[in-house]
Amino acid sequence: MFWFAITIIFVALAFDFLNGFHDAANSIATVVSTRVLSPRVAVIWAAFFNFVAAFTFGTAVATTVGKGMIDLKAVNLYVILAGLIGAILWNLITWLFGLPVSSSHALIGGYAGAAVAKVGWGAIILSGWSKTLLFIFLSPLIGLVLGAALMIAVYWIFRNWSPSQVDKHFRKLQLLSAAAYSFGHGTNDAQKTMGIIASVLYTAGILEHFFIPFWVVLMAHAAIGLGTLAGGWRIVKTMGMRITKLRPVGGFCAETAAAISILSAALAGIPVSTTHTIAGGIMGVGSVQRFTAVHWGVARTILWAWILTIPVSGAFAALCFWLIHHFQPAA
Amino acid sequence: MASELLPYSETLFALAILLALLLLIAKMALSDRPDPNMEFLLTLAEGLPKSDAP
Repeated sequence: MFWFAITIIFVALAFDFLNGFHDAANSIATVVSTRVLSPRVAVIWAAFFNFVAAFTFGTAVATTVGKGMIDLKAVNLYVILAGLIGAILWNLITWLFGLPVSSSHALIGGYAGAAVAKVGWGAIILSGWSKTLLFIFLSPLIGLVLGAALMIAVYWIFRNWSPSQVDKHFRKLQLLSAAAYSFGHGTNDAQKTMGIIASVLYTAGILEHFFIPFWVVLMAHAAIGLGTLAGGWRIVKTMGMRITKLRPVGGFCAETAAAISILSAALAGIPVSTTHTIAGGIMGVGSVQRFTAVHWGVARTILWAWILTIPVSGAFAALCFWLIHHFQPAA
Repeated sequence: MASELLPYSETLFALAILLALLLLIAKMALSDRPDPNMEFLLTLAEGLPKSDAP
C-alpha cells in the first residue's frame, strides 16, 4: 500500500508537470506578443514566479479540491489513480486536436468521475461544486470585465500622454503584471495537485488527518515550474513570427485582470482555470478598443471545449475505474 | 486469472501508468505541433485594433 501510494504521488506530480507544460502559453503569450520579453526570458520569468508562489497564498484551493468536492469516504487509491488517468487522457486528446482547455477542470472532473463510478452520485459534495461550476462561466467574464475596466481607466489616466510615452512606461509595468499572472498560475494550479496528493496520503493512512504538508507544497510548485519551463521551451522552438496588435498597455491590463481574478479565487479557495481568465482579459482589452475586433467566433468555439472538459474527463476516469475494478474487484 | 494478478502488482501497475505518462510528455516535448493555448491566445490578440495605446 505504501509504495502504491508513493507511485500515485509521482503520477500526480507528473500531471502537475503536464499542467505547467500544457498551460505555459497562458503565462508567456501576452508578454511575448507585446515584445516586452523575448520568448526565452519570458519562459524563465514565468517558471520562476510559478515556483515562488509556493511561499504565499496558503492552501485554500488544495483543501477544496482535496476534501471539499468529493466525500473522502468514497475515495481510495484506485479512485485517485483513475481520476488522474482520466484527466491526463483528456489533456492529451485536446492537445492533439489543438483545443486549449483547462488542465485544472480536467483534474477535478477526473477525480469526480472515478469517485462517482465507485459509489455513485453520493460521492459529490454539492456545496464544493457549485462555486467551481459557477466560476467556469464567471472567471472568463471577470477577466473580461476587469480587463475592459482597467483599459478604460488607463485611457483616462494617461489621456494627455503621447502613445510612445505610454508604451515606454507600460513595457516596464508589464514585467510586474506578467510576474503577478505567473504567481497566480502557480498558486491556483499547483494547489489542485496538492489537494490530490494530500488525499493520497490521507487515504493510504500516511496522514492521520487531512492537511497539506509543506514538502507537498514545495514538490507541487517545483513540478509546475519545471513543466512551465519545458512547455515554454517547446513553444519557443515551435512558435512562428506571428504579428499581434497587442501593445504593452493592453498586455498589462489583460495580465493584471487575469492575475486579480486568479489570486482572488485562490484566497477564496475556488479552483479556476488560468486559460479562461487570460483569454477573458485579452478579450476585455480588445472589446474596449473595438467590440467587433475581438475574435468572438474563436472564443465561442472554444467555449464548448471548456464546458465539456469536466464531464468528458469524468467519463474517461469512470471508464478507467471500471477497467481497474474489472481486474481488481477490491478497488 | 487476471483478477488475481493486480493485487500483487498494484505498484507495478501504477509505475506502468507513470512510465506511459512520462513517455507521452517526452513525445509532446519533442513534437513540432504548434501549442493550442499559444495559437488560441495569439489569435485573440491578433484581432485587436492597432491603436490600443492612448
